Amino acid sequence: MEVRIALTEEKNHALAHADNFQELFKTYYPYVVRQIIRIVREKSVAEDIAQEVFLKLYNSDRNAIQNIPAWLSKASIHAAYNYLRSTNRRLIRDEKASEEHTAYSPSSEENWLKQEDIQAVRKVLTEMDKRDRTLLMMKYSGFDYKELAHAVQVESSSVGTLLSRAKTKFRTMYKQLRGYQE
Amino acid sequence: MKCPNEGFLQAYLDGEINREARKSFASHLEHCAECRARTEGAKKLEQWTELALAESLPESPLTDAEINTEAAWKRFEQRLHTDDTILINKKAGKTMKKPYKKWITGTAAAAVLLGSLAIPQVQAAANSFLSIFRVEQVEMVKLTQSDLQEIESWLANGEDGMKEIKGIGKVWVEDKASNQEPQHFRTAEEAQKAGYQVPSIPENYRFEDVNISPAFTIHAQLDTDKANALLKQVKAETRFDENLNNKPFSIKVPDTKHYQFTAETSEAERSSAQIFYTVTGTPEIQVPESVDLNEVRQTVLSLPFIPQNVKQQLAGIEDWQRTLPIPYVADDKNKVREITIQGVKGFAYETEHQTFLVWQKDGKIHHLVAYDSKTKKNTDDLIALANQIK
Repeated sequence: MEVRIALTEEKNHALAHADNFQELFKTYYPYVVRQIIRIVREKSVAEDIAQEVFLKLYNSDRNAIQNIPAWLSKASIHAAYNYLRSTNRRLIRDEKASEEHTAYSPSSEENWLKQEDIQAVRKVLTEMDKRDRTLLMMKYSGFDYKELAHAVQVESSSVGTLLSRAKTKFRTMYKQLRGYQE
Repeated sequence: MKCPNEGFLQAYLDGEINREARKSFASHLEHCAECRARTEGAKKLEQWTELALAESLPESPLTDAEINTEAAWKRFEQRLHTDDTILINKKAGKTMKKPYKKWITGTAAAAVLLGSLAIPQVQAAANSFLSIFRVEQVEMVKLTQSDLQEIESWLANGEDGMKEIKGIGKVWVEDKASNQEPQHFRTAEEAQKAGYQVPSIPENYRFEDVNISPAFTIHAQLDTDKANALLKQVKAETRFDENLNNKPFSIKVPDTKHYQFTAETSEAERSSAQIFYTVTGTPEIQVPESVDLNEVRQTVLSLPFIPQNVKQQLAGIEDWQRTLPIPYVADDKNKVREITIQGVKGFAYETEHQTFLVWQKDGKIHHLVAYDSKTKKNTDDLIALANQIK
């Protein structure tokens, strides 16, 4: 149910530093770049996208944002996947990046997933429902249900169900892509 | 304690339920082998997901020193100073955003339409079956990616104050009647015992579970003078019927049943391992007798956030009062076509990773989804399954 009226909680306006945009930028810039680089894998691209994310933050009513890291996380995930979807170069880049990835992996034995599995997971993430993806990624970035609920505009009480379904779909799409027999 | 649903299990694993519920579930677990197995299964899926995400999206090895925040800030600052459009946007944002925001808040009707239009995918929209009027037929409304962006960027500025409607009126949701909690049943027999009719399950599939979301009603009451002043302010062409002034109107959404069926046969004999079937009664709007539904329709259509070509398509639905517009995204990957299910007209929506059928019969809206049906003649198979669900 996407109707958001009357379901949203009273806004918490306590955000002392919202006026000081420079401070916000400097505090969270590394966080945003890190978040994006996990998805796009190229530093220069991540830096460009981070600029867009902060521009969006600059143009938003910051007093209305309850939780700046959660807002930035969501915006970063969206912007990074929009970028991936908008370029046809995804596969090429993934191949290139997978070399880099092996380069800084601690040791190949410690990796549980094979390189093809990783490619499959990344492909599924690019193609899955945006809300499901946001939920999964923010959940595993450590945000709690209240923050997840706010990010995808649902009631906190539905987050458990939505998460559980998102994981099932995620797994199903993954298996499909890897051609597993059930 | 009864066996809880998947959402509760998830919240339990995530430590997102209160102590009391936690305790009572822990004692339930002691004597319910089934829930122990479910919890174990949920835990495994959780671990796999965590691992898959952690390994596929590895932490960046960049150190803070390698991320040049100072340089990035200089670049950003420069952009703010040189790029005039940003400043203009910002100004426009300040004057325009607020009335728009509150405007959304102000109308349940708008919110409902928003509810169905704002969601980029049909599958999501299908979860929020709602319409402005009593629905007797289903129509697809085509969106393009740029329509979506238009709605999305507009909405992005509207995050604030979905509830706050100072001076214009009020909107509220009548809570699910207190005795109507969301329910979950693990077997068809349990559901039947509780008084729910269970549909016939397609051949070679078994009942997995059913979740029942209770009915609810959204109410709104508006001061149309003030609402119209807002409409004028946002340069919308139409106005609310003054007969609606300070009279409550409401949208009633009946309870919804979400079933999951699992295939019992091997991969070679079927195309979907799991199918998800949802059935809901038709939503209804109640307006004061003196109000002309068609005028409300015009007003809703003139809301500024609906892209022009979507408006045209919505306007093109002749029997608006009985029609549920379902948005779908049109691009080369996503297709929609008209089909026949159980002798009535329906729609099939096909994307790379899901096939979605919707049809309407006996005053209910039905939909059936498969997420792994990319293989072979998936839609035909799914239609065949749909024909068996009665």
